[in-house]
Parts: sequence; structure tokens; C-alpha cells
Amino acid sequence: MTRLRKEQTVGLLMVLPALLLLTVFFLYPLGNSFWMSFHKWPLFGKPKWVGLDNYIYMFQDERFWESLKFTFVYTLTVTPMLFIVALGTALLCNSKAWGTTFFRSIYFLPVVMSFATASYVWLWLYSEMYGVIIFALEFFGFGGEKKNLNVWKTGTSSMWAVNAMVTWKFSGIQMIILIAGLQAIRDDFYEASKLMGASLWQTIWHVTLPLLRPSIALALILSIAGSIQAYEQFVIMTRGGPSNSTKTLVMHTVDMGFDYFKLGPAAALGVIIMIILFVLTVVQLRLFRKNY
Amino acid sequence: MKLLIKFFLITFTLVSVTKTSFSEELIVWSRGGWSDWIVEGFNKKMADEGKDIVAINNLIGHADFQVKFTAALSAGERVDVANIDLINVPYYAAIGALEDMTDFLKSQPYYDKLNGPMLALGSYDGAHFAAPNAADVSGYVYNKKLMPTPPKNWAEMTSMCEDFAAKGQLMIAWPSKSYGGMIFTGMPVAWANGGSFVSKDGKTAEINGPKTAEWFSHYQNMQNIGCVPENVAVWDWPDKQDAFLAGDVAMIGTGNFMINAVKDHSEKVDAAFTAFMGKDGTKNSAFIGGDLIAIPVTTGAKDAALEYIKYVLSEAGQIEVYTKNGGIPIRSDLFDGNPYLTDAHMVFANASTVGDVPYTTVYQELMDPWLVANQRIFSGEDVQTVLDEQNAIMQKIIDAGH
Repeated sequence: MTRLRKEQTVGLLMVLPALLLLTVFFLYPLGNSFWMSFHKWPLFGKPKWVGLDNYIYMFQDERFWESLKFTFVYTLTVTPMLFIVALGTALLCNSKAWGTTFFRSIYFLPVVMSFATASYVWLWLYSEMYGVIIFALEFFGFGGEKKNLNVWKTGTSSMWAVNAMVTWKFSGIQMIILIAGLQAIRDDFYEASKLMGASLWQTIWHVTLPLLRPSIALALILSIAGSIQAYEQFVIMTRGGPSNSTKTLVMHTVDMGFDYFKLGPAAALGVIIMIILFVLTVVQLRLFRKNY
Repeated sequence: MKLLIKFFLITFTLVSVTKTSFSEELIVWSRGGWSDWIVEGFNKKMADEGKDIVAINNLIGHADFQVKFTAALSAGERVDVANIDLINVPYYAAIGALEDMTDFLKSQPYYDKLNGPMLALGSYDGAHFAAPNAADVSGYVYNKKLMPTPPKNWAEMTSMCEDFAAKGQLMIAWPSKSYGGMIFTGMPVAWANGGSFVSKDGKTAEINGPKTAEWFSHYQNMQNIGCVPENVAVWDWPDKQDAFLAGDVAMIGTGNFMINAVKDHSEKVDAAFTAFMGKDGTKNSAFIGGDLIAIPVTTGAKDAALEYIKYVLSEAGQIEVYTKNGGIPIRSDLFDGNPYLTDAHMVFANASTVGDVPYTTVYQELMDPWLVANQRIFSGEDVQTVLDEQNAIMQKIIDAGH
């Protein structure tokens, strides 16, 4: 056996466990979802091939379009919110001033809490009867003279309420990604910018942000992918209400599969979500790769 | 001597193995904590009778039960007895997931005393696939400190609402954010008024009928008067319950389980119960929730499962285990002389004889338009317009089937 052959065999053996895991836990379920999406899949008895019927059923279902629309609106609103807060805290915590490590830990702390726990905590904070946030907002005049503010009253206010929680919960992880990017920028760029008389804003705009591009790309891809798959926060905090106005695509998929047991249409929905994620990720990668 | 020791060892081993092999295990799936008491009682009874049947309770949370049970059925996993949320039983019966127990049930002397709507919900194509097990019955709870006597009809309720509003107090609240809460405590008021959710065969959506619309309008009217929390359109079950227990609201819809829950709130609440009534107060109704008990087709011990169900439905199971722990018996012949049924329990027991529960194989999917109807109406939209729209969606779901 030649040395090259030997190395190839060893390499193959090394990746085999990962390949097996990938096959069992990703490729097989993925293939199965595709297969299921073309069948009427009963709990008992044999599945029946129905071609594109499940996709047609989904596209004709108003609930699908409502949840798709909401998912996009949520993604478009929460992503900039998260990014702006993360960038701000990253810039602040990247300085070498005293206490930055402490503040980094504080900002990162919500990330370690489970998403469900965070949702329940914020649900309580938003409580009409006991919620600290509601008391604070009413103190500043929200909710009118009667002081009966309830953030779940409309779809828009519900979404912003959830967005605030998600920003609090996840801006820490984005901050860490951005700090890593910031620390990879060489000091001489800043020195050159200073020598050329650039203001702080000009330095951020013309030096920091362009050089931070790979980290921004990673943060945005993670944020958008997470938002398209939004589930727990809305199940716990809004239950899709009021009147289905905050029902996400994944919530609709779970309802279809595990509440209504329409497994074929649910699989079709899963495939649609996967295609959306794939397209969005490819577009983002291309956009951010352009000027490296 | 060695030979003798060998003989005893072999005999002992054989006896042990034989004993273990013949001890029949019965795998019970449940979603309520009370099932532990039933299983305990059953195992004691089997031991007393010298029968080698041991029931093992697989207690699963309410929220996860349906998904896990369906996955188990689909995978062919052995489940001998299942205590299923009654509302989902028509679906399981329709897909052939449950054993036929018609002969068994009809042979029981108390067959005609079993709760009718629950029995009907366990039936499909004229056969019984599930038996009544544990009933959660709905009704109003009111705080005598705020409301000495409950309203007897809708006119009286409206008049009391005006009095409360004039004093700046809240009279009633309901959980518009909870589809289960609204069908449990709202729909029965419509039923008592002659309204309907779906037709008896489950094939026609009927929430836009005049009698159901009349109930929605009645509640919406109380909102307009001002005796209802302003944000009731987005209130959940705990919101209205907390408000009641805090003494902020005089009455709410609830279930028999509230009898125990109010005991520790005597400072602000002096609770009493009354049944849901129709417009003129001549008819009462209730939502009969809870569990039906069934034998899945994946059972490996059908006879032992029937023995278990027999115990659940017996006087020992229904009185000494279930009613003793706060439940309402599902046999009407066990109401009289039942030492554990207080006056409060009797309100629910009597309501269970006139209550109802919708029969449909697509219940979960229908809850979506039902919830939307509630939230839109209690946000101030026109009752009939909303009901017509949501009824059409419900009909579409029913027509598409399961």
C-alpha cells in the first residue's frame, strides 16, 4: 500500500463516524421528508403517492401565506434590531477601558438561558397585572389614562414585544462574533485613519465595517436562519395570536404535522422552509463575498 | 448433600422464572396525575384476588400526550390501555387505532348510566371504541363577597353588569386567547341557548347559527357596558383565574377542578358554583371534558386491559379513587349517596348530565378558526360577519377531512 493510499484510508476512517452521524441524523431524515412530501402519509396503512398534491394544498392554503408573510416581516424587523444592538455593544466592549470584560459577561449572560425560559420570563415581565415592563411603560404614558396597556392586543405590538426579548436574548452571541471580528482588525488601519484626520463615525463607516464584513456575514446568516425558523418564542408568548397574526411558518408546520396529523403537507412545508433557507443563505454569501 | 443443594437451587430458579414469566404486565398511558391512584388501586385489587396482572403507569404530560401517543401507535409500540383526551378520540377511532369494546361495554349493568356525550364521543360507525373515564365539567365560579347570588338568566347578568360597571368594578372575564378555554367555558353558554359548534355527525360547521351568535353578542355587550376587563380579547386562562382569585373579578367560567383550587383563597374569595345558563335561564349546559379510556390496537394484553377498564368504571374506581380525589363520576348512578360529592361537586355532576362535547375527527384543526372568531369578536368586530367567515373556514377543514 502506498503512503498516499494509506493516508487516504486513515482519513476516510477518521471522517467515517461523522459521516455516519450525518447520514443517520441529517441525510436520511432529509431524504425521508422529501419522499413524504409526495405522499399521503397515514399513521396506519401504506403511504400513497400523490405527486405534487401536498404542495398544491399548501399553496392554496391561506394559513400558509399568512404565516410566510409574518415570518418574513419578523425576520426583516428582528435582524436589524439584533444587529444594531450587537454592533453597539461590541464596539463598546471592544475598547480597552476598565470593566469591559464585566460588561461583556453581562451582555452575554442571557445567551446561556434556554429560549423557553427566557420567553416565560419575558411573558411575566409583560403581564398586564404584574409586569415590570408594563408598569414602566405606563409610567411613561403608554396605555392612556386608564393604564391598561397590553402588548398582546395587536399583531404588531406582539411582534415588537417578542423582538425585544429576542434581541435581549441573542445580541450577546452576535456581540461575541463581532468582537472576534473587531479584534482581528490590525491597529495600523486605525492609526492610518487617525493620521488622515477621520472622525469616529468615518472610522467606523470606512474602516471598521468593511473589515468586519466576514463577521457581519456570519452574524446575519445565523440571525436570518434563526428567524425563519422562529418557533418557541411565539408559541410561548403569543401562541400565534391575536387572530393568527403572529403565527410563523414553523408553527404552522408543527400544527399541520403534530396537531392535525397531516404528515404529507407538513413534510411539504418542511421542504419549502428548507428551500427558503437555502436560497437566503446563498444570496447572503454571494452578497458578502463580493468585496473580500 | 451436593445433589440436594443443586435440586433446591434449580427448583428455586425455575419457580422464580416461572413466576416472573406469568406475571402479566399492563402498560397504561395516562396524561393526568390521578391515574397513579387508579393504577395503585387496580394493582392492589389484582394482588388481593391473587391475579398476576401488574399495571405500569406511563404518565405523560398533558401537552405531550397526543404527539407521543400517536408516534407510539404509528411505530407499533405496545400500549395496552390509553387514557386519551376525549376530544381526540373520534380521530383515533376513525383511523382504526382502537380496539372495539362494544360487547364489553354493553354487557356491563351500568351501561345506560354512563355519561352519554362521553360515550358518544368514543363511538364510531355504531361501535364503541372508548369508555368514559374521568370527567372535567365546566361551570361558573362566583365570589360571594362580590356577588352574593349568581345571575339566573342573561337579562339579570346584563343588569348586574351595569351595576358593577357603575361602581367601577369588574364582573366577569373569559380567556379569549385560549381556544380550549373558550370552548370549555364559552361554548356551553351558547349550547344552553340552543347554539351549536358542529352538527351531531361532525360534518357541518355551525358556529354562525343565530343562537351561538346571540351568546357572542351577549358577552360583547357586557364588554361594551364596561364590567369586563378591557383587554379580555388577549386574556389567557391564567389571567382570568388570577384576577378571580385576587378578588378583582366576580365570576369566571371554570371547571370542577376549581373546587380544590379556591380553598386557599378564603381571604378575598368566598367561592360558589353555578351552571352555565341560556338566555332565559331555563336550560343549563356544560362542556364535558376529561379522558376516555381505550385499548389501542397495539395492545399485547387485551383481556387484562378489559379487566383494568372494568376496575376504572367500577364503584371502587369511580368513588373510592376518583371522586375521593376531587373528580366527578362518569356514572350517574354513583351520584346519590356518594360521600365525596359536596354541593359544589353536585353542580358539576348535574351539569354533566345535560352537557355536551363536539364530535369531530378534525377537532384540533377546527380550534384555529374558533380561536380567531373569539379574538376578533372580543376585539370589537361584528359578530355575524366574523362567525360567517370563520364558519366557512371550519367547513373547508371538515370537508378536507383528516
